[in-house]
Amino acid sequence: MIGTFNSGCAAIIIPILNRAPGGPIGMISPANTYTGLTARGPGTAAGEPGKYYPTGKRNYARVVAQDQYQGAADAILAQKLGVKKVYILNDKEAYGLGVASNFRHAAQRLHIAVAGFEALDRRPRATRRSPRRSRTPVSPASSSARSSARTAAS
Amino acid sequence: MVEGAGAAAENAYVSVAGLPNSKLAGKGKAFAAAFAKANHKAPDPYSVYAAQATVAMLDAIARSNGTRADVTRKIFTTNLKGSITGNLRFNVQGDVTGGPVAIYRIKGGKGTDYTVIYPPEALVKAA
Repeated sequence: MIGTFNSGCAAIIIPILNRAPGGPIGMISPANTYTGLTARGPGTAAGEPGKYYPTGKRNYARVVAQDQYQGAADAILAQKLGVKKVYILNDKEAYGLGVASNFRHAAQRLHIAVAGFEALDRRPRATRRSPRRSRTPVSPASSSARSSARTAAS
Repeated sequence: MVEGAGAAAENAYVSVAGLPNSKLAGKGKAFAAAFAKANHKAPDPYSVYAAQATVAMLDAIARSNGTRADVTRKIFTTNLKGSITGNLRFNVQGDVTGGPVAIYRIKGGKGTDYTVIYPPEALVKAA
């Protein structure tokens, strides 16, 4: 199988193909980057990655580097741009939360202050709590931003 | 993001794992050119990586005994030189080691190449 595109989708499909009769069905993803699909690390959930491989055999690979690389690259970029403090938002999806967590750890290693770390509130406006306001730059890291930039740049 | 944020997206930086098309060389550059000729537009960078994933899978199938289980095992002994995105090997976890991260910047409502960062392994481990 060539896929999946989305890490959250891969989290569902990998164990299904792992248990396929006749041996695990191999997957190679062109785009999944969530760390927990293959390894433990900052931002990964309990039980990962083992829970995706119920037979104990690996059946999944990916041709792009996982989120720790992107988080580290984002922190290097912020440092090069002279950023001293960031406020990090994520969309709570496997990809968005994961890379935001990776960025947070890398930024702190580079002595960039993290003023906050929050998930976007997708509830209807009337039910939301009052948003915090900050003037510090926000780290852009979401799957929709990724798709738009790549599509626009191609 | 551009569609959703409109003018607010201007000058934003967007990072994406992988190489931008402009940095492809050899077979990658040839693939992008052939894709553009056939489809009258440049490939999305994900299309390039999808092609790389497909090449890797076909290579694993070619080296296997034809069974489902052996194809899967062969994925983890992939060793492609000068392939679409460069040299390709997977570790036992199924990950590539090293990895470029493309940085785009939104200019005039479009993503433009800004730079490519290869983060050092020490910082990657800390992330």
